[in-house]
Amino acid sequence: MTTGSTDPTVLRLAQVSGRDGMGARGRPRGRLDRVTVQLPRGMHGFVGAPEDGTAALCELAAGLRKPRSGVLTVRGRQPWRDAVLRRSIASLLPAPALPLGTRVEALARRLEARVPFADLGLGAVATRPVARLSFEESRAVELALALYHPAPLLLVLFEPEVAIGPLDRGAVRHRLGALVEAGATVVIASADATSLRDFCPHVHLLERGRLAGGGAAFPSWPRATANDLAVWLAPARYPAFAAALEGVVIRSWRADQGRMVVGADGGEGDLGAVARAVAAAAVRSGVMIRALRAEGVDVPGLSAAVHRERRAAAPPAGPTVGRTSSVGADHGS
Amino acid sequence: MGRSGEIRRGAEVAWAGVGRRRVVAIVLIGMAAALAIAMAEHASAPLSAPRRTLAAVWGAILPLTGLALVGTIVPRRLEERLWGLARFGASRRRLAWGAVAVAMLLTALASVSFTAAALPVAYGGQPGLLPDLGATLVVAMVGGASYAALLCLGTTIGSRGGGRYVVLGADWWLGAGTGTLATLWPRRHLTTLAGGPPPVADLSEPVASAVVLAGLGLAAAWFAGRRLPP
Repeated sequence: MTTGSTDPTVLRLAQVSGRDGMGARGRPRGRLDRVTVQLPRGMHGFVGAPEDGTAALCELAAGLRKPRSGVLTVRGRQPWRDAVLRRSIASLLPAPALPLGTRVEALARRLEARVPFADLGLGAVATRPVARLSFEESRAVELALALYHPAPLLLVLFEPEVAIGPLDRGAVRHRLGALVEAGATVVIASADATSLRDFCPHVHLLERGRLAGGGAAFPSWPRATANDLAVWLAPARYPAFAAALEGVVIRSWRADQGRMVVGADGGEGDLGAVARAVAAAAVRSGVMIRALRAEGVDVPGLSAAVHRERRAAAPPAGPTVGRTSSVGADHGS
Repeated sequence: MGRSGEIRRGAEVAWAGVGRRRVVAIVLIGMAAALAIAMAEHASAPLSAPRRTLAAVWGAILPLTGLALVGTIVPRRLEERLWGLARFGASRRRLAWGAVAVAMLLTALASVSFTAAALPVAYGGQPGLLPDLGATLVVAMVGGASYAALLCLGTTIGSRGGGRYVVLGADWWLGAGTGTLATLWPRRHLTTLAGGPPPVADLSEPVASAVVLAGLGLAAAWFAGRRLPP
């Protein structure tokens, strides 16, 4: 880890534009558009879909791609062109990229990463050749190598809780917290706003490539709806299903999508109880449920909340859409 | 990992990523095409068949085979192919030189096998095969390696490595003529070495063309690495 510098900034983006390679056949899917942000030591989250530039941010910060314009530095050096710097950047990018022609354990040994594969549930994977790993296994191994990097300066993680095979999410969060306490900087990009908010003290919202809000001036989080359940059913069966629901309330109904959101009566409640009430209603009414999903704070909901708060707090001269964000030292971990 | 170690690792990773079945299929298709050309040429004009067979094999089959083989090693941009090692601190340049070396070796071997298969068929029992074979195989090897290096250089151009098609098009277009510009392309030198006119009067000696061809390949390989960041 680099120490001794008076500048607390670890990752700095100055008017950075760039694209990812997440689309089909390496085509770009998302992009960053003149983003300026300075991140000191600590854990930082970027909420947004890949189309909003989260994947591009990770690929640029890890050094896979060169910014199309602007300057991205890690401790003053550019990861794109500094091989030595990349040794201290651990990354989990959208596309797994482990060196072929080796076995997982041998790779970890070569990288001096003391990964407790068995404890992480990766014991069976550890002895296999890298070339024979599935997508999820590759991501799990990449994440494990990142988490047990011998001296990480920066960890850049794209969706670290998605498609990671047998890795335990709780253990991942615990290890990330330990790394931050040890002095590392963690940058997490995810479309799952709720989970990111749970363990990232600094969260930024990326929206269509631009930084829409975040850091010190981040607005209050939208009301948690984690105990609500979205239910999809045939629109014509709505009256029968609604009549059969007991102990829960219908928060919204979109007839064009056949989507209903139900939650516990009174606002707070157990998601399991809501699910049981939905199942009971389905049995009573004979309505077939097409899909179920636990409701969280999604990116559009978060974006709407950010813009709502910004409008409310805007000075009379009119708001400026912020593309610049800085997490000050007083907010650092 | 030292410098030579990084080059070796680049070669190992490139080799590990090669689809063996695909490579065998590419080589078999190329060889079948080379044999078909040799038989057709021998049937139509036996005396000039060896020269025209070599011109066709080196002018059409070799570049396309090179394109396919480089495609198996570097599907998109060269630096993306090497990211698996570069992300852990290895120099992309040195890794690239190792990967390019594998592409050169594979394409050179394919080229030699095409030539070794097609030339005896084109001769069809006429005298002169054995004296011709040695030098021809050396040229085939150098030509294959040069094409692979040039195509690898092309994979560093364009957001998805599409520069390889530009390079191949330029080789077909500019290498078909004569003049100073033509000396920059393998096609011109291989045509000369197959019995065609030299690109410029100073390269009338076949050895000179062969040396320039080898130089082109080495320069392209070097530039393919140098175009990448560390």
